[in-house]
Amino acid sequence: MKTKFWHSIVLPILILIVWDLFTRFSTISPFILPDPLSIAIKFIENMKNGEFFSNTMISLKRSMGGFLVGSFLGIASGILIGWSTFWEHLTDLLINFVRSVPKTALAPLFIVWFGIGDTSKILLIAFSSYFFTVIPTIEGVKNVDTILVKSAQSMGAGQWQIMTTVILPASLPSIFAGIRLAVTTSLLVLVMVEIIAGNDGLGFMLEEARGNLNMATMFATLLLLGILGYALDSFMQFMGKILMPWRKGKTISV
Amino acid sequence: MEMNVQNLKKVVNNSKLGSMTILADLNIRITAGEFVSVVGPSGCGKTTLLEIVAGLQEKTEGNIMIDNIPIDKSCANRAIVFQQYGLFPWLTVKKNIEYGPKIRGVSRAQRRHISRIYIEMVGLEGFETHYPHELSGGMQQRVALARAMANKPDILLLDEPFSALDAQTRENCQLELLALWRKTHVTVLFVTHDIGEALYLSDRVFVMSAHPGTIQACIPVDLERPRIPSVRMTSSFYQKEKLIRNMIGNRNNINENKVLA
Ligand SMILES: Nc1ncnc2c1ncn2[C@@H]1O[C@H](COP(=O)(O)OP(=O)(O)O)[C@@H](O)[C@H]1O
Ligand SMILES: [Mg+2]
Repeated sequence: MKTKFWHSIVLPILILIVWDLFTRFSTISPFILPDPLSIAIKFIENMKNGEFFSNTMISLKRSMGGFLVGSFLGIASGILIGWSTFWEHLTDLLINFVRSVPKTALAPLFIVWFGIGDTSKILLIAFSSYFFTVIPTIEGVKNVDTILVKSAQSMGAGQWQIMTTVILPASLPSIFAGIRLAVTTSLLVLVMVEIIAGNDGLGFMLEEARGNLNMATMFATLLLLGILGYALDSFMQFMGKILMPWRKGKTISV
Repeated sequence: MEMNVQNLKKVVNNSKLGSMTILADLNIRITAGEFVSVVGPSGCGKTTLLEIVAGLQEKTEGNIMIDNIPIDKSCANRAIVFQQYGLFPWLTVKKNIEYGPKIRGVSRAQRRHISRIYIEMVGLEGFETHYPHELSGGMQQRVALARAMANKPDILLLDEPFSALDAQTRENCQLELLALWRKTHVTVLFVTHDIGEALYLSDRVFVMSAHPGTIQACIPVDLERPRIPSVRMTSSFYQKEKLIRNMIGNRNNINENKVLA
């Protein structure tokens, strides 16, 4: 474990050193590429003055709100669609058509329909989270080993018990892979929408920094976004281990 | 419990192949506490028969009676064990065994009592908190046996339960099953394509033929119990094995026999 950590930070440190030397000894303008130290200073400054905190909270509220609504609907309808051929045939074409539309391409439409406030952002993220969860859920439910269903049935389990004690846990790994994708993507989609429309949030901070030519803030915000995304994904991985202890040792790759 | 299968018929309607008769005029009578096997070539309808008896498939015609009462789907007095174990990967050994009692609303203390009994019966003490994938095939099948028995079934149905195991493990599992049967006095219907296994375990062996699946003969096995593996080397065992092999062969490999003759 220890050696692995040291091994994995070699490359980032090397990049920082080269970056630092480059900004020091080349003629590149700090309006194009600021040096690592001034980015770090800007990062701490934004942490202290609450700028990062308030904008992170705004962005997280939007992305988590959209994620929760979208993935709840995705999982619930995915179970229904995966379980019944009637619903599968009814929705198959629609889902496969709409999933192929890049969700970010819908941003302009959602802005026209729902304004530039929170509604359009949350709805867009919910929309994208829905598709990231509904499809793995359908697949997961459809691929549940029939022998497990038969075993439960033979021990007297009714339809509802089979659903909650067999179908749901059996498809959990697949559902969870979808959830992880939805979480990470919700942040991604949100930042993009905040860049095109909005007056607060981390995406807006990036756009504002561009307008002010404040490159140190821009890089500090990117750093924060990286940390947030990484923390979110680590948290999801941790949740995966808690929710699926039987898969200990088996990595759940997305 | 006594079980009586009368004139069982199963027809499936396949959209491509049209309607197909899988089982026809199938009769089996099992007395209480008896250990009975059904042998037959693969594809003759053994799994279909067992799943109908278990209530997992609908029958087309006929009657299935337990103690002269026609069974319907709702009673859970028939437990089934599959070749592929069918254990829930997300439950520990103990929780797997407690599954049946739990969904029927048996109390926690009572469930724990039940699982302890059957874990001990199949010799899996110390593995209570293991997950199925951490166990060998033979151990997993013993968990499946314990899980089935934890429902206190009147009749235990086994569908080629040991076919996926290596020879040595299979032999151990067979002995384990016989011990379990002796202790619980459960009525057993055991399905296999392995003639030697059927003879070694059973009081009687039903021989099945295919197209459509039906009972061709019933061979009583008058070997003394408890049985030990060396019984397979006796001439009376060998005679019976040969007899059944010829029955199955005559019906299904007529062309092959002609070539050999
Ligand atoms: N739903 C079904 N539709 C069409 N054929 C089926 C269906 N279920 C079983 N069969 C056929 O019935 C026959 C008996 O199957 P099975 O009971 O699994 O045999 P066994 O267990 O003896 O190998 C096989 O030929 C199988 O292909
Ligand atoms: Mg079979």
